[in-house]
Amino acid sequence: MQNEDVLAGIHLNAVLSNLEILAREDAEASSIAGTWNGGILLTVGLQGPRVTLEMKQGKVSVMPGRNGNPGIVLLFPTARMLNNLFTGAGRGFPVPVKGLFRVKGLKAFAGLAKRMEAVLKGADAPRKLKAGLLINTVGRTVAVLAASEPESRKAASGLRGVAELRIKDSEAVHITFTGQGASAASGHALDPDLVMEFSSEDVFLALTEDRVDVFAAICLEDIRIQGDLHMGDIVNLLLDRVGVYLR
Amino acid sequence: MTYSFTQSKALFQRAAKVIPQGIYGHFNPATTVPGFYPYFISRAKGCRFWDVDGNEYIDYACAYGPMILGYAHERVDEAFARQAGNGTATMPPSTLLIDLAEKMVEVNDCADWAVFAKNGADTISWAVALARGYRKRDKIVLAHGAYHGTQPWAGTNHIGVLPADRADILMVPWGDANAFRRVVEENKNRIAGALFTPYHHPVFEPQVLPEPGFWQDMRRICEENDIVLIIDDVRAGWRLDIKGSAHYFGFRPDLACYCKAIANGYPISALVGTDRMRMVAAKAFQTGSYWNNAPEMAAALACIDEMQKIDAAAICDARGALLRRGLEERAAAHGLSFRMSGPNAIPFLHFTNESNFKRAQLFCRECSVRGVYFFWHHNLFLSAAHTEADIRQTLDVADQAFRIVKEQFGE
Repeated sequence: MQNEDVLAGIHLNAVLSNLEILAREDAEASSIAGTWNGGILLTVGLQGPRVTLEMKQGKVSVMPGRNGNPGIVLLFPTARMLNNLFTGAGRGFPVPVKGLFRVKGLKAFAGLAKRMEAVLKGADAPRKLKAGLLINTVGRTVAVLAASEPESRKAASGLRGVAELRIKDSEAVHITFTGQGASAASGHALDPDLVMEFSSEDVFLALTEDRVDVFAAICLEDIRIQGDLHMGDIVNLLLDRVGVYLR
Repeated sequence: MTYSFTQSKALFQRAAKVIPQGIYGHFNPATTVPGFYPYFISRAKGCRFWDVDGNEYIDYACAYGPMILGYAHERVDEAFARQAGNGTATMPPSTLLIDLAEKMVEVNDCADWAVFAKNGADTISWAVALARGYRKRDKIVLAHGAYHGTQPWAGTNHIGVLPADRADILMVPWGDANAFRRVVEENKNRIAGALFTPYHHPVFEPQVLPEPGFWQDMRRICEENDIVLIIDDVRAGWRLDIKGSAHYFGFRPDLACYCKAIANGYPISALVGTDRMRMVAAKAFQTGSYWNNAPEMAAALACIDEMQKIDAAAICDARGALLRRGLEERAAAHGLSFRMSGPNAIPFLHFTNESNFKRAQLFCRECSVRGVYFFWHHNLFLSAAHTEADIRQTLDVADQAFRIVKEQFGE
């Protein structure tokens, strides 16, 4: 069963961060991001989770919390309304508290979201880019779950160290477990305690579609696991929970 | 690197098409170092096996414990084959059922009676049922990190397990009698049984031996609170002491579960108990299609007799001591922080300056490709078939592996 607050955290901290990679790796997204310079704050309620998305000369940065003085503020009265916007289900319109007339900014944000959806869900989307976005989403979602979902928090309680998920010669994301919570960042870790490396984009994409027998894939070296397999067991549990929230 | 694994990998590809996980359960090689370990064997003899690529290994897995006298042991195999020629799953059962129960009562320190099944999990579930039936209470106490099989209540799986399956399970740290006492006080008159391994042998962690007096404290707490003390001796049983690991550590449980080494690899397990548990055992209906198979009982009788004759536990201890000393000395000579924890006969290897097992994985990998089959995530097993020459050969291989660890990690 999904927890709406946890799902909102995933949308803000895991899904939205894909726009950084998208604008960096995809010419069309970069072109959209290049149509406006400024910041957008997305916030759930007045005290809930929030992120600031900044567009600058075709580049996108997504930062937790309020950063600087964003020109647009989109307030979602409830976590469910934010989630509806991301999933396309139910009512999901935010209240534009600030910047209602900054049409260019709103349009750029909507355009980027649409482009991300096309890459993630489109049949002929570039596989390398799609896999890059998905591994980022999965890694960051694992961190959100470990930090905020009761069941996952219990599983990750006491776990310390860094786990890196990566596609061979391609994108990587790493999760830092602190014993009480977790955070994630794109790219390689300096000296991860656990490495989970997928031999190709195809292997990773098949995994996200629940089409990979993981134990068999490890034995056949389609997935390489090195280091702290006890941590690997827990990450595996959390990966199962990712499927509860993101399909 | 001297070994290659072409056939192993090809066969695994074939297996994965028709078998989930390719090889399932604890035999799945994902926890070895895939690409550097064999997946299938062609034959085994003594303490050695040969894989499908023709590579030869000195084996310290012993099939995770069942092998104690050596693979293809003539006396045990002959006993099995002779009885198989006289029938396997028969009704009524063979008189070997009585012979084996008498043997268990004779050799085992806490056995006034014995019953038999196929796997360790069968007898552990049986013991839990008896404890609940005897005390007419619900709760069972287990230790964090202990393995008692894959039953939903045992906490190993997360697939298909409901909160209700674990609702009456209480957890304590292994080896902490005070924590156990607290849980008992918090659940006064609600705990039926306490199920523990005789020492702590989790995966991914060094092993923990009981502090002096620990088991006596536990026995006392159980007595004072009418709790059935159950020992899961599935893994350690027969390797530490033919009278049972409880005898080795100086206490007497109410129920003890055995499997693994009882028949040197033939499928049979045993639950033994004291007189006061006899009547509840007499009332319980527990059974399985093959639980009274005679050939396995013949193998068990031959195996127990041979273990007594040669003092298998003493041999395992002596070879384990040689291995422990040799590995620790050679590691130290390379400037590496390495230690074997747990009993000599069932040791766990680890590098003390790491918690992520990277050195241990490299070490085991380099041993594997030179013909020594070690585990980094799970304890090893010594057998009575390991000779001093096998240990010396192992140490020579380990020396090369330590050198590579030193080169790669520096310390």
